[in-house]
Amino acid sequence: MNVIAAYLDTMFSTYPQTPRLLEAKAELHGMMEDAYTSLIAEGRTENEAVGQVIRDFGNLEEVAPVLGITADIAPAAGGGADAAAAERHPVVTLEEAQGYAEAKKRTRYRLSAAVMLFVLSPSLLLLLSVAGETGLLPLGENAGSFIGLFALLVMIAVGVLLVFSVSRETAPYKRLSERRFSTNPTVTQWVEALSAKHEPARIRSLQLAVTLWILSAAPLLAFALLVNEPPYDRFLPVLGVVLVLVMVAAGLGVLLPRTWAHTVAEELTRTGAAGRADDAEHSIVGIIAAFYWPLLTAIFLAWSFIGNAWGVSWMVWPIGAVLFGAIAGGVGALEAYRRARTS
Amino acid sequence: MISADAIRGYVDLMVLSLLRSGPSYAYELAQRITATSGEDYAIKQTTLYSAVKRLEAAELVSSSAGVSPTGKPRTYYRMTDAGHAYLDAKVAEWRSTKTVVDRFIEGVTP
Repeated sequence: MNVIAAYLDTMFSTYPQTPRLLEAKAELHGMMEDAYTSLIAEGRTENEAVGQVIRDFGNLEEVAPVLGITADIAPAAGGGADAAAAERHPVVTLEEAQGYAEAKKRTRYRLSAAVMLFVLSPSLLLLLSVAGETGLLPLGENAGSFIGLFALLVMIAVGVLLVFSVSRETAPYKRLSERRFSTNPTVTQWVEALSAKHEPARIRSLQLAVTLWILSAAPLLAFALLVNEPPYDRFLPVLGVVLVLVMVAAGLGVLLPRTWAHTVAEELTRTGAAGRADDAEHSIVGIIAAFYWPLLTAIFLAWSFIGNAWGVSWMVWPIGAVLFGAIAGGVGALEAYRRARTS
Repeated sequence: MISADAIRGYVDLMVLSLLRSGPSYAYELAQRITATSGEDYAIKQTTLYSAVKRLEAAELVSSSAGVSPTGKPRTYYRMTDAGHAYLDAKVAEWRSTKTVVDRFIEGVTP
């Protein structure tokens, strides 16, 4: 029976997965399943039955006109042709998929190091400027800020260089990461097996990372609520913020190097409608982000200036970040639910 | 063996005539067509699927979800009133087509 399903997958693989085509595929699969079952009941061997069913399948192009999906199957003349042609991309080959997975695996530590550097980049600036300001370090406010700013720029520069080197290695597989391909049953099977093999490690690191992320706010809350004596009541909350960054970065450092197989599987098995819905979901989050962060900045500045509350107004950022995570997750879940209902 | 081209125009008629005796699903229809045709014609699955979808689009049959005798969920097709009228017209057309073609081939020995 798997041979029949794989045969149908292959026949339909070059076409976009419109609801009508999926319906046709499901019903044809039912017919083939029934035919196979009755051939087996007649005493044929599995090979004979599969061979007979595939011989009796016919020609997919015959189905096109009655479903009104001629443009879906073979681009017709005119404007519809361009749209249909844009949706049909060459099938992904196994060599391509293996090369892409290999490149992702090779660059996994570089990419996560870059992300960690970006997250950690403001920590020295925060720490040294408040240490100088409160006199805990004999630096003076400006010298501390300068060293911190310099460290921030260096870390961002190193991070950007790492990202460049990663993208140079994955560049040959650009059409895969941009979803300009059609799925291929062989590749789908291979990549799902690959992902399954690495799934336990990914789940373990995800658990560890989430624990770190949740606990990351603990020192900050403890310092902010429990420490009252100057100058520590100014210095320790900032140290708490830095510890949040360190623990978030540590979580990312644990998780990111173990997600490559899962990411490759997600990218190579979903295309067409599912891929576009996913993009749409990302763009909704993107639109929210475009308004959200400037608004948060405005709140921060207004509160700080008008209320002269520079000591506490930084709280806008951790709270805002957690809230944004919740919004993005909520939008994602809503989209997934809607998609599950429509499909 | 009859070629697919020769019989193409009559697959709709075959499907409708089978549906006269009650609703049926795609594989059962294919099996009954092959059984009735004997060794002369084996219908391809895509041909049958196209025919039922064409009839459904023309509202000559209607479809509904059902369960096959083997317990699998299958789409069942049922003939509509328009389908009965269409079948009658098609049968009349076939009879006159047959008469006309027979007049031409009278005396021709293969």
